[in-house]
Amino acid sequence: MSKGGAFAKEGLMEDYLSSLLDEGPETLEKDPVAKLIESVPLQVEIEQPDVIEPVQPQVTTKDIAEAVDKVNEEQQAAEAHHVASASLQETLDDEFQALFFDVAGLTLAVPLITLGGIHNLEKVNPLIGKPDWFMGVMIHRDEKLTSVDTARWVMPEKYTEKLAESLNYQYLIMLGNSAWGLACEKLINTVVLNKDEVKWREAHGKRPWLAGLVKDKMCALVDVDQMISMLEQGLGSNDL
Amino acid sequence: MKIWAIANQKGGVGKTTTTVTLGGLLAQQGKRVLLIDTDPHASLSYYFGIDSEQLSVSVYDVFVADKLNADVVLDCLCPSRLDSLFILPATMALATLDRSMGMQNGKGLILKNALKFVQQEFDYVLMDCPPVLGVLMVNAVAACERILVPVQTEFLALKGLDRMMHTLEIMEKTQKRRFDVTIIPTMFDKRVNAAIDAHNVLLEQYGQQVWDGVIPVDTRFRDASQAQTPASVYSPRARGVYAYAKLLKTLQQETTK
Ligand SMILES: Nc1ncnc2c1ncn2[C@@H]1O[C@H](COP(=O)(O)OP(=O)(O)OP(=O)(O)O)[C@@H](O)[C@H]1O
Ligand SMILES: [Mg+2]
Repeated sequence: MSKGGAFAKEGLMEDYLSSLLDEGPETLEKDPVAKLIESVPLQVEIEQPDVIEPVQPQVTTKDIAEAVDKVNEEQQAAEAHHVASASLQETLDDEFQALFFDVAGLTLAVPLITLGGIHNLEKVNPLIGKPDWFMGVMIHRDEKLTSVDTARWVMPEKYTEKLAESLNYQYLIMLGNSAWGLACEKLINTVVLNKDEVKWREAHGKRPWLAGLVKDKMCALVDVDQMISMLEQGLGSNDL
Repeated sequence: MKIWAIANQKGGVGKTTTTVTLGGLLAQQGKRVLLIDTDPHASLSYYFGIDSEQLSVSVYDVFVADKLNADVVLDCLCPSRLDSLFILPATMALATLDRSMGMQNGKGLILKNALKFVQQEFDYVLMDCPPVLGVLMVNAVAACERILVPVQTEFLALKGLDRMMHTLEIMEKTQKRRFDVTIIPTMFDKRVNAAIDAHNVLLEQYGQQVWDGVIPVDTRFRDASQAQTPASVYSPRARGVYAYAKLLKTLQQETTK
């Protein structure tokens, strides 16, 4: 199902697996894992299970496994930096998956490779001296997640008191590896999209966070990295 | 002898619970069952009250044996409270294998070769994998006929699933074979809309490969593990156990036809 290219170092991954699974006589000259390790910094921690784990023994040498596991995260990080120069359109595979969600009747989509995760929206602590679209900080397992009032950010011109009252935010859609999350009312689904199904916007236009329009659903496809960068600068959706 | 691996690169999705519960149910059917713990954390071994650091032998010895034979494997087995259920326990030392073997050709096939020696002894072999892609998981997957992929019904877990499925695709390519993959939605909470949504997405994306039932959230699993007893024994009428029994029935029907 995954549409190829899920691993940045796809070739190395294949080398690694095919050497492990090689039925022939042992040869030691080829050393794909070493290559893989060299190409991956090892200090990053393993993805933590969501459920409380039994007491963890002091495992010392999982480096290779971690390295292999890390390849993905590295890739995502690499892609994230990449996007500053390459557009989302160039970064995505021809087919990609996107999560659709709803805010105040508006449907937005984020490509799954740029989705950091989804949380149930819990208590948000407001901070003073922040833009009005800054809902506040939600603590999740000692992590501070900054919540954006998505309706207010995306369409400030339509944001009336009445709209504000009607909003029923339930989830936080995390953007990439950042601490920014978009509050949303409803998760719709995840859909496999072809690049052709998106009407891509010209690069360097206004609202760089808007990568394009998913044609038959008439909904906005979000360029997550651009959005993060705008949020970091405290900019509103129309401020560029 | 049927060989199944229970794998997912994501942690905490119910791999060990699935292995133990299906193992318990099979043993209760009178089948001769071997459960192999390939996780250095040894949670499956611990589940059966085996203190893996006190053991003189474990699956580690199978991995590092100079020459494999039936005795090497049989000597490492631990009995359980169920007559026909045996455990090949793990130890922390397994964690060193990635470093010592990750570089050597053919080291992904050790378990596959080891199991050939005990073909006559067991009806079913179930292998619990660590939540990490490495020598241990590769060994389990390479040795099995069928892969069970438990996946928690939540969006975050679906993302991890994509990665797991892609790993399997690459392994299919390198091993030139097709895996029988069954995705098992676990810890399903029907009161939570996000779980229902995630389940729908799962069906939409992996349709055919997804088992058509779900394993519900059931606190009895945790109780059973605290009691170090398979849930099928500890709490045979629990909803969760009932769901695993249904899953097993499906898997057994598919295997015989
Ligand atoms: N259906 C269920 N309902 C409620 N709790 C469950 C269910 N299945 C598993 N659990 C609990 O969730 C936790 C994680 O499950 P388990 O250990 O089986 O996952 P795992 O995939 O083997 O984890 P790891 O990747 O750490 O090895 C355990 O505490 C277990 O008791
Ligand atoms: Mg486990």
